[in-house]
Amino acid sequence: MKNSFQLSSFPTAPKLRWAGRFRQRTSASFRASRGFTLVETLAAVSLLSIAIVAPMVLTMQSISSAYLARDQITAFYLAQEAIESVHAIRDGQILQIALTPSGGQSVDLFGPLAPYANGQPFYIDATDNNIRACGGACSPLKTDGPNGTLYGYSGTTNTIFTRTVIACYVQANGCTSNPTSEMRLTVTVSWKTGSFAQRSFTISEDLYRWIEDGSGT
Amino acid sequence: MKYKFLVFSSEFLEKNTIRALFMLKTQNSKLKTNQRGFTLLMAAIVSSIVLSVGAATFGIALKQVTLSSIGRNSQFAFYAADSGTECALYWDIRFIAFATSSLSDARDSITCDEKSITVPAPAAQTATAATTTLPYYAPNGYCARITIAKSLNDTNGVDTVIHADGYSTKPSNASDPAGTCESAIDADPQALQRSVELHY
Repeated sequence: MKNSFQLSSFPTAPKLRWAGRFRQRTSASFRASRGFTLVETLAAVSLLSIAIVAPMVLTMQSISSAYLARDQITAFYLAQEAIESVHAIRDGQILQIALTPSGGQSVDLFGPLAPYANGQPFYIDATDNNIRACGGACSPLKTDGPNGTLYGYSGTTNTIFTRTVIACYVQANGCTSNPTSEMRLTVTVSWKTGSFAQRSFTISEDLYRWIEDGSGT
Repeated sequence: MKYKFLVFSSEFLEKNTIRALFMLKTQNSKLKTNQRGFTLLMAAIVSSIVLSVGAATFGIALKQVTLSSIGRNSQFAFYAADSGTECALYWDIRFIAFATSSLSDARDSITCDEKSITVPAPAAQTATAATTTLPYYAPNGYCARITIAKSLNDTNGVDTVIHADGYSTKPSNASDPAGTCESAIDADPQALQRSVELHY
């Protein structure tokens, strides 16, 4: 600030003379390489921007892949949860047969599942083992709030995961609603992470009436 | 820099400020000449930092993707094994399908997951024990193999061990898992095995 104040207080003539001399010197020393600096700068800027943008893109892709990996882990645990819930219902029926003093034999091992073992999708809520039909396409799983972690169907906030459970009785050639001793359970969890395409994960499990029950099969 | 400027200006201000300024300019351009290459160094530092952050993130993400796909394949293998144990349990408990000793009879075949599985002669059998290894079958598409070891115990009961290996590999010919599962598993570098064992 001190400097500029003193400059302005001088008359114009010496300033001009100085400027002229400076211009002369500049043109003399840079004439040989005139225009090179611009090209050099452009090359340097483009190189630097490639060197920065490429790792940035790499980082962004890596982060979105990490999100996809996270959601895939959630998805297969949700699928496992559905199978284990049905498994637990079946095993609960076995306990009922074992612990009922008389008449236990009439319990159907697949009893609570029987109305839904028709190849149509149904919901199973692992929080209370409640089963109900989807009646068309199943709606997404819910949690109790935006940061909820307990997946079920009684919550308020939709998650990105949709779980479709299908059960049917295995026959010699195909899978139908006609009761047999073997039930096939197929769970599909589908979800969409960010800009990735819709992904899905399917696991199947066969459950058997491995003790005599009241179904007659 | 401020200090330098003050020194120069106090020395020359009295006679000619322009000259003082000019000297300062010269001094600065000399400094700049000496500092040539600093931009290159700066560029190298910045780009290497960005690159190493990118490489580190990529490394972490790669590990996460690998972990999640192993977990995913593990589910296929586990439920193949679990379906296998359920099948063997069903045929053993309800139909006594597997040999307990060289003296006992076994069924010729059992049916699991729509497919008939041949029950072979026990690989190892004595008068009190027999171990039957079923050929590979593919519950819901994934290879599984079941081994049933039965033996008579001291109290004339039967001890049973059902061991099922499930794999995340599909047979190369879906209609012939018994013939093609083993080679498919050997050929698959990502093959993952989970096993379930029941003792009763």
